[in-house]
Amino acid sequence: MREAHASIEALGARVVAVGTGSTAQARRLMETGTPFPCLVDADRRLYRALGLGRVGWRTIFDPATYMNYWRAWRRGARQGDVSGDPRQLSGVAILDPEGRLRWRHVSRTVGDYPSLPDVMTRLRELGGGRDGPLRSRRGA
Amino acid sequence: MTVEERPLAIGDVVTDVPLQTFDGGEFRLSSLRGRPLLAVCVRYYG
Repeated sequence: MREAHASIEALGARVVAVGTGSTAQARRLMETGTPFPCLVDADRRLYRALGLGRVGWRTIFDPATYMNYWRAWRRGARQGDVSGDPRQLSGVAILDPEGRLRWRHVSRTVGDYPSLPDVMTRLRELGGGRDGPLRSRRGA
Repeated sequence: MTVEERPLAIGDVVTDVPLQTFDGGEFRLSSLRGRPLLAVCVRYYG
């Protein structure tokens, strides 16, 4: 997502990351070059609003989960200390300029993220480009 | 509607819950209105 940030900004959109972990970890990510705000939703209110559930312990220890970790490791991801809710599932949402939910991906299991090209396509389809309908009529 | 009752539907205004910044300040997604927003909710920061 760091690498794609400029492309997303070029579509006129902003990016935020939200986690359930500690503000110290959010600070570390910001200090290591994450180019968008890393926020904390400690009581999971946004996660619940978006319908993002929690995974069972059985799934966490499932071999398929470890395959997802392995694939992430091959992409260069490295796991640090875990804070927050390890059972929380992830998700991605696109909001329009008025704050309305226009698209979301609700993860069904660990490591279930939409592909970056898919997210970019959704942004373009929903009109995140310069003159698209997702852009504010106020021109902000 | 409260966030605990049911998930938002497509087209609903996203509940403007208070989030925290890295320095402990309060942040609301409504402050970013005016442009499309991509919100990536991760499992956890690690």
